[in-house]
Amino acid sequence: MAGRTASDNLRVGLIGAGMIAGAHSGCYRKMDGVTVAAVWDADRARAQKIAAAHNAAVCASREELLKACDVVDICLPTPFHLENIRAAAAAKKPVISEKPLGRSLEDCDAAIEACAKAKVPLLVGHVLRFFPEYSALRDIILSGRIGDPAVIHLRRVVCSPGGPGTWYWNYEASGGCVFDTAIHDLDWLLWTLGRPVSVYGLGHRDPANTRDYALITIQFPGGAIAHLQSSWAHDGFSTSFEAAGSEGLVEYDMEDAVPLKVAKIGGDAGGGGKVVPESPLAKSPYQLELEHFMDVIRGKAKPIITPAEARASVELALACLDAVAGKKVVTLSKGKAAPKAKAKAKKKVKLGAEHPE
Amino acid sequence: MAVKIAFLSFAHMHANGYARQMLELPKGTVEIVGIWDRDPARAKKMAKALGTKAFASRDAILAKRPHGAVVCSENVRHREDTLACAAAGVGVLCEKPLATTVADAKAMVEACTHAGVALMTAFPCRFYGPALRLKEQLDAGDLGEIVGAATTNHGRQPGGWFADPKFSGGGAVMDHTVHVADMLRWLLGREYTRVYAAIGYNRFALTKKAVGKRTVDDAGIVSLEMDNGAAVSIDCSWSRPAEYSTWGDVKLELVGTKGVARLNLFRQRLLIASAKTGRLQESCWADEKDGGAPGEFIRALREGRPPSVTGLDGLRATEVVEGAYRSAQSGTPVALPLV
Ligand SMILES: NC(=O)c1ccc[n+]([C@@H]2O[C@H](COP(=O)([O-])OP(=O)(O)OC[C@H]3O[C@@H](n4cnc5c(N)ncnc54)[C@H](O)[C@@H]3O)[C@@H](O)[C@H]2O)c1
Repeated sequence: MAGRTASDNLRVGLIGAGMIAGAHSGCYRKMDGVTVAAVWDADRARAQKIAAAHNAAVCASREELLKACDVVDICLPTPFHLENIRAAAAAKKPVISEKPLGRSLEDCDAAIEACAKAKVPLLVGHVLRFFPEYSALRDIILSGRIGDPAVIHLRRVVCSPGGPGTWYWNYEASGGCVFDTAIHDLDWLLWTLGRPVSVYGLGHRDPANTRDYALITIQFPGGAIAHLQSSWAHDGFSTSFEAAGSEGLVEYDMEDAVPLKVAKIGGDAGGGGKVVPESPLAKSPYQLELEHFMDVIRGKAKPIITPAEARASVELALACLDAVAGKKVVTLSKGKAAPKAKAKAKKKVKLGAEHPE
Repeated sequence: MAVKIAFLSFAHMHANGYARQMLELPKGTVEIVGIWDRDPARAKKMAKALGTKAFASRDAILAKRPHGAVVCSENVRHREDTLACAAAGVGVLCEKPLATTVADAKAMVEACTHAGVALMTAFPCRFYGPALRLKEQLDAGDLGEIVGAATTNHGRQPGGWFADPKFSGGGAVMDHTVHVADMLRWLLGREYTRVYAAIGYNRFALTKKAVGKRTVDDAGIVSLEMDNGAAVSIDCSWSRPAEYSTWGDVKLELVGTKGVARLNLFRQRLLIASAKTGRLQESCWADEKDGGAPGEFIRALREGRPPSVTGLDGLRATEVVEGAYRSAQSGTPVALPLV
């Protein structure tokens, strides 16, 4: 960027160096005005690997990391988000945190309060908002092009994330496919249709065999019905959606949206050919998200995702977990949700009304 | 000797397909004795098209002592027509849904059992090659235990009596839940234990155009539990707009402990863009094995055995529908079976 001085540069401190940190790291390398300056992970070898790609410091502690950065990016398992958000806020560092904001509403409230008190931005990685197909679907619905939304399908299926024995398969930690993965679609629904009235769910959970699966029905005040298929029991990653409205229909299947397929005869899969799908995008949604977060931190943009919205997504995901576990209907309250003890925070994090545009 | 078949009503246009499937069976297998319809003009027209006779009354056609009858009247009349057949000792191939209430379905099953005549529910999806191959693989245990199934049977607002609950007994939930509900029972060899449904009324522009002042359900997500705990959903919505490339779909995504299967029953299709229609349209070449449901009905009558799809199968699917409507009304899941 022309005219940029060294002081414009934002130094990122990466907390956590696992799977999603790898994705963030790749984006940071392509971004202007941002450098990864420090990496900390309980597993030093992982931190080293990412740090090496950036010439960044490998930190021995969080305290060391906080001293070496301007922005903190938290890529840890969900239950560890809060304590690290708190530490970053206490050090007056703007916070980027992976989704879900926390494993409980109490965690979310405490995280929001800590950042509000420290007056630092809290930016939660609900990256679906930066996926062009999902933001386009939202635009199409809000523009009225398909009329009143009536039935919306959101399908997000994955093969065992992390693999057996990882934190993903500790239900208390990750919340399974619904809380960890379907939360993307839940956030999109809140962003697009606002607060629902009720949630119903069925599912199958067998962590010992790394299988988790759920079918969820969500009903909205205007009569729209959403159906989610959430799975950690598939053979690979795949998403699709369909939105049927009173005046039209939108369909999308990731598997049909692959503009380039290259197959090598007798490729490395033995006799069979190998298909190499590539992202069709010049900039990945993760990069768009992180660039937006940096713009917010620089005061150049208003956040596309607010902390209150990230909390609302957690609240809805918890309702879904409840519904699936009990195979029952869970009715959502009309927008008051924060626990009594957090009466002060409650006002800030009020749900629902702020969702529709 | 040819199996003699009477057609009771062409209110449901599937009667035409069933007649043609029967006529395509080896020469001399089937003799269509004629057509009776509450609409005499329609009976005449269809009789001419199929090269058979129109009858003035149901009694008159049943007096010809056919071996079997195809009942394709409006849903609410299935019971009356089936009971008349049973009383005349005539076997029945009844269009789905077998009945609009569990009470009606039960009465039909009982009447046919009592009379010792065959009662088959027309569930054609069971007869498509890909569905049969999926069943083979499931029976062989290739996918392990099935723990979940997300399915759709989308459609386009059919209009006419379908959109009038007085004749149809209900809208999309009545029309489009039973196919997949039956397929899953058949594929998995399991029964349903509970149903929950979210249902929308007059949600789609085509419905609003079709129903006038009436209301009819045209959007629905029906959730079901099976007796092994498997989670099932069926989208039965009439959500395809007029501009869409085809009438709808039948799609199943089954998740098992050893694998996943995605069945799209009508995927084998051409896409046609034509200035004559002004939109993209599909032409599908999916076919049914051995004459489909009508073929099986004829073979069952010839061999004097029960058909592979029974009245009880129709009753079980009707339970899902009645349970779904009850659930939507109460806002809570409803236990199955209802009888
Ligand atoms: N936005 C998305 O698309 C997306 C995708 C995947 C994961 N995520 C989210 O990102 C977060 C991390 O997921 P992941 O897949 O990268 O997990 P991961 O298991 O791959 O990585 C987590 C890393 O954190 C380290 N770690 C664990 N506990 C620690 C602690 N207490 N202190 C320091 N380091 C610790 C581990 O050593 C590991 O390197 C989760 O909240 C997850 O939900 C988001």
